[in-house]
Amino acid sequence: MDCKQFREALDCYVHGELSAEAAAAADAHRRECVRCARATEHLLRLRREVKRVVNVHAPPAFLEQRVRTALRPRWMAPWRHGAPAGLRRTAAAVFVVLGLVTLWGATSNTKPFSRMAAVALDRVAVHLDEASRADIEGTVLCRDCELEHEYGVKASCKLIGHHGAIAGADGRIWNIVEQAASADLIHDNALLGKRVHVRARFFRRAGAIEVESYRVDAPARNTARSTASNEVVAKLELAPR
Amino acid sequence: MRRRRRFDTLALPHLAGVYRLARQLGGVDRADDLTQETFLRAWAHFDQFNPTTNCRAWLCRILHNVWVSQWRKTRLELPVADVEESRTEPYYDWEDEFADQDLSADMQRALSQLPEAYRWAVLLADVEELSYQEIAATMECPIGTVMSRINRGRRMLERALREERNRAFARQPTAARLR
Repeated sequence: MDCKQFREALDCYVHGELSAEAAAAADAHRRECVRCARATEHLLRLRREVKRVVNVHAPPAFLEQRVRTALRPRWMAPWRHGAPAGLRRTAAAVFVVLGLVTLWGATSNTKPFSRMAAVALDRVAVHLDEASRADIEGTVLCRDCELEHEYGVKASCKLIGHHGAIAGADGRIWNIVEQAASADLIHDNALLGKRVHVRARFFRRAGAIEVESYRVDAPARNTARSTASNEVVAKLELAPR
Repeated sequence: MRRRRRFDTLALPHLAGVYRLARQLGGVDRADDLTQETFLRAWAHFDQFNPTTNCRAWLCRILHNVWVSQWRKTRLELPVADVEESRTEPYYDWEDEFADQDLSADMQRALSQLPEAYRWAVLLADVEELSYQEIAATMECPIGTVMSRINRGRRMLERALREERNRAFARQPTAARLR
């Protein structure tokens, strides 16, 4: 292999795309020719620099959680880009059955079906809307950014800052009532993407929570600093009202 | 459930890599959106992924398609390089350049100056370290085109770096240049 042949094969050589014989010939030429050896080193260095410059950017802490949230709920995910034929058939069958049941209820002489269903749904709704205390484990996300991503709402976070909210395990996003105890959860950008355990009163119909206390978990992985000792990094307790 | 677990195991670990490439394609403002849309599309078409192939290359291909479709919504045509070269050129003038210089300061600027097709080829080759065959599948072009794009992209990168260096050198005071 001479210099011209070596330079023409240099890209493939440093990329490991040459055949075994060609790579051996290139190795031999590289050992003999100082200029070609330097050219190879230069190209390898250029590749390293490209990789280093690109890899210096880490994704924001909340991005993985945002992607995970966007992938939920699991049963709805296939509908984002058109449901597969099996799901379409199943959905059609469910609608047909529901329609038949509704028709039977409407035409039967017993208590009107629609009224029975409405009463039952009301009972469930009233039961669910009891403002009860509960714990929720979730991730702090910017409510406005999520609305922008999901619905194209024009968020003004770049101007006035993010507005924290809690995304639960089911993907539902809970608004946080603005109070002294919850000010950091709403306004501290450093908490975005963090896992939190929150004790709160839940107002389900309003989709809001009144935070009583919370604690922030350290990232579970991907950081060398993630150790058991710093798992709980903050805790805020409220004085009883 | 099993499908989701497989997706979490095979695809999600590449989120950081996809984000970095998205950042090179669309800039910091659009990188989050590109990454999220890539994974949503990957999840929607996960049944089509062949587990014996490189998941990262598959995600790169989706990312590129997402970027192209988003680009088409806002621009009339893609920023495809004007002239495709069919053959590679040797690096005859490389060996004495930048011997002991720190390239990183100018590299990002030089990368962003590359036409999209060449930048994408260089990134897939040098950052993702995909094989030529995988790059060809990702870019949906023949391997010969991949080779010429990588070769030409690197030469453009080298030229842009040299110009940055020359400009920086010209800005230096005379005494510093003579030193």
